Amino acid sequence: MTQVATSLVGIMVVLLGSGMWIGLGLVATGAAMLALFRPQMPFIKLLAQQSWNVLSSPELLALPLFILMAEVLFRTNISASLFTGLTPWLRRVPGRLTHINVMGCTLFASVCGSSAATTVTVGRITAGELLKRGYDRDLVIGSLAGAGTLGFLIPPSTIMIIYGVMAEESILRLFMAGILPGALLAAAYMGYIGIRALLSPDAIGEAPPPSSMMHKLGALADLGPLLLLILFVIGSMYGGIASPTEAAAAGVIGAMVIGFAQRKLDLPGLLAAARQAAENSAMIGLIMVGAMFLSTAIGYLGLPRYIAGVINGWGLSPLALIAVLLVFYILLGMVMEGLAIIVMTLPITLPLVEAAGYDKVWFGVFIVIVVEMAQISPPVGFNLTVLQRLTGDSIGRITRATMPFFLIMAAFVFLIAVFPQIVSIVPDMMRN
Amino acid sequence: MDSSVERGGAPASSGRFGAIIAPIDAVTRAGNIVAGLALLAILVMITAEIVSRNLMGRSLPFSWDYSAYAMGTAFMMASADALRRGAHVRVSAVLEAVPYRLSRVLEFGACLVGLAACAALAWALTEMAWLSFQRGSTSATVMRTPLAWPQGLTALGAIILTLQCAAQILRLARGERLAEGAAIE
Amino acid sequence: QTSWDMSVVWPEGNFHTQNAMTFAEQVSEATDGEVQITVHSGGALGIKGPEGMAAVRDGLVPIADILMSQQVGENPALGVETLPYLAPTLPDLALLHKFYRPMVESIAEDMNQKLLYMVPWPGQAVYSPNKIETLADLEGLTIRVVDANGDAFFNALGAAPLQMPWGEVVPSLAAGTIKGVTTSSSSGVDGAFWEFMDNMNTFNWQASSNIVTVNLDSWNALDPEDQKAIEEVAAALEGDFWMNSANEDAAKIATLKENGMTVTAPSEELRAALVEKAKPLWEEFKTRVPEAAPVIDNYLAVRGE
Ligand code: NA
Ligand code: NA
Repeated sequence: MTQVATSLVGIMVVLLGSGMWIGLGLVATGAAMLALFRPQMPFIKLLAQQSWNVLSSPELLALPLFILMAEVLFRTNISASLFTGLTPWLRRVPGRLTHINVMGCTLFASVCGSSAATTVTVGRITAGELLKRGYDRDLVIGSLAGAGTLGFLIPPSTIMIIYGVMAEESILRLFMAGILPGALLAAAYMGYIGIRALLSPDAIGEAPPPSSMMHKLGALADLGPLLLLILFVIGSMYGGIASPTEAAAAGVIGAMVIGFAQRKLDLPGLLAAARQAAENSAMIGLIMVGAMFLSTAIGYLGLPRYIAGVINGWGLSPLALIAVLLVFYILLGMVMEGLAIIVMTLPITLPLVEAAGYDKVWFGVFIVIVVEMAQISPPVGFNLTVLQRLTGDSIGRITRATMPFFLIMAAFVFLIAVFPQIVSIVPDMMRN
Repeated sequence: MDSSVERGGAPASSGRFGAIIAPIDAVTRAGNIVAGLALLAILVMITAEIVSRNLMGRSLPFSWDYSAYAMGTAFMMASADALRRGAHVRVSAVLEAVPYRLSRVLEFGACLVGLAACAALAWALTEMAWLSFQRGSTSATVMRTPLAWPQGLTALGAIILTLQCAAQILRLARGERLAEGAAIE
Repeated sequence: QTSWDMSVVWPEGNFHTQNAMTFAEQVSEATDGEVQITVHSGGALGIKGPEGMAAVRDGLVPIADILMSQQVGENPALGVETLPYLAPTLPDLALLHKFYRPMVESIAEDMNQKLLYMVPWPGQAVYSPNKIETLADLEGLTIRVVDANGDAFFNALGAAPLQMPWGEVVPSLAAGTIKGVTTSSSSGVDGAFWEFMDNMNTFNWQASSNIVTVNLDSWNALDPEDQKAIEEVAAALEGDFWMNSANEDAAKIATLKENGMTVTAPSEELRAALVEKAKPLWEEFKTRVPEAAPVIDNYLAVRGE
């Protein structure tokens, strides 16, 4: 098994390091691993099946729809008015407009079950504008990558649904359990941004001149269209009109209405938005195909099962177990896709964690956070690739910028391990 | 109004291999347009489902199935153009750190392995579509869609991706660098 | 020694998964450890429900537990059991299998695999906010269904059936986007449906079975002795597994009741009305899939219809 693990890392480092496109590099890595260790496996058939799974999965539909919504919104005045609306209000807050990333992601996460879609949508609206205004590049990128992952933790959440089905736990309870940790993580991100801003004030864009209350209230009017859009999407979902994926379509329609009303969008513009959205979707789609294929190949070779079995043999104390599992999931998260991680490890790790005294809902939140960390750990990290596209920076630079937020999440895992009430308090309130 | 869609890459027809690269680029761009239309088709179908269910009390049986197929079509059909314009993300740290000549060799090698991966994907999807056609396989849902059609569309996208990957190798051979993923405008 | 990875898409705690584990253990014993089966639950091998038979055919896995009705895209005759009210009780289903099993075996063989055993799911119930006592109570109910039969049947009943991915179901129920669901007692417990709906009616309108099949190349590579031992284990356990299915239904219904759900069965009149709406679908199916018609006719003849 050591041989399997070293070959995997070796092949991946060589292929991705030589500058191969990540999606294709993952396909090649998976094929090489199977050729080495499972030569009798009909890998073309497996590749076909895994690709088709990704390409025909209705569960993924919200992703291209939200990407399309972001492209449409990008062609409206929304971005500019978001900033003019909030600038006077955030003038005295340390970190100022950087907080828009965290607040925007938190808000958007409450309508969107996917982490990559949250990052791409909010980032498309805020990143360019923040960088243009002279905000610190690392802080802008890092906060987007970090807060974008809230898409999974704050309900609705595709990952929680998968976990709930596999662990036979109430999905509603899981959704409730994600709310407080999500809010706390968002607060932690904002706290970090504030501290960074106080420590190096020049990292933050120039302060706008002070403004009167009248001006401030007037500025709020600029936020009107965006607030209406968010209310429209949330309302369509929680009002029983649309399912979560359908709400994404409602969001695109709403964005189009704004664009047409502002006379910023026309039919050729809509087609251009669709073509750009298709390009962005294809980028994520190809990586997903590669990641699913490689993850399945790794699963066939039994690597995750083997490691989890080894950990089981150590007989650790609860906190030590959580620490080891955290490392285990961080390592898996570097090379595997989040959903595959859950599917392949849960049957072994869930009983371990339950024996250590944590319940299924708690472990669900733990799993969601480690899957979120997998979204921002290289080389297979969807939020990193999304930000690469949004900012044009290298994956290395983006990873470095994201690191503090990654560490905040790791620390947060320990916090909920010591105080499991953070997870259980909201679902328990609902039960009574 | 959106110049970014047409940005990227040197003019294909100029220089060596122009006669090969130019038609591949044309097919690639056509794939991107098909993909864009597929995304809009998803929007139309899901919106129609919301409207039909809420106003007419009837669900459209095809909306989920066909939307998912349109998504697969969009993913694969736009993939070649994403490659041409440098949208597919790659790790460039090593390439920037090593001497120029070595980085060109690495890039060439990466492109060749990439071509093999694309070809494997195209082969896999084409064979699957062909077998579905021969066996008459359909979806297990209400629509009983013959799977050869949606699978064939994704296979076509993968074939175009393979052609574009070959075109990238020709571009490298005539001294160009691969398109870099600059920030989208 | 032979090692087989067995793909099961159900979670670890599901009774089909537990059955598969029992089967694996007994196969190991019966073959003196010559054949070792490792059960991978929860779709850990990356194979989804509808592609089970294709995966075994293509040798992606040597053996798998497969929901037969999800394979109708490969061969429509695999959907016989799922016709509404064709075999609503376990004894009915056992009788149907007498005529049906040879057909399933031959379809499996055409797909390069051998059938080992078949185990039914508990029947499909209807979960709804209101009590369902007459057909009128179904009028306009937005109910999530999973297949063409469900769509046709609930349309015929005047409800508003719709299909959506399982992942959309719980949020949609919570928000009221859909009002009802038709599924088994097991899935009702898995989805904690008492959080959204007060009533469960044991319609049992649809049967469905899982089949466990083994790739023929893998099978033919075994010693004849081991083959015989595995066949005997499968035959011996199948009865127990059917009992597990019946017990599963009873236990899950008890769980639903414990959580405050009202569980009722259709009255004689309602049942008669439902069966009447179902019968045209049998005829339609026989026309569309003529090779399956004798199976249905012979079964119904023995049942006295
Ligand atoms: Na979310
Ligand atoms: Na990662």
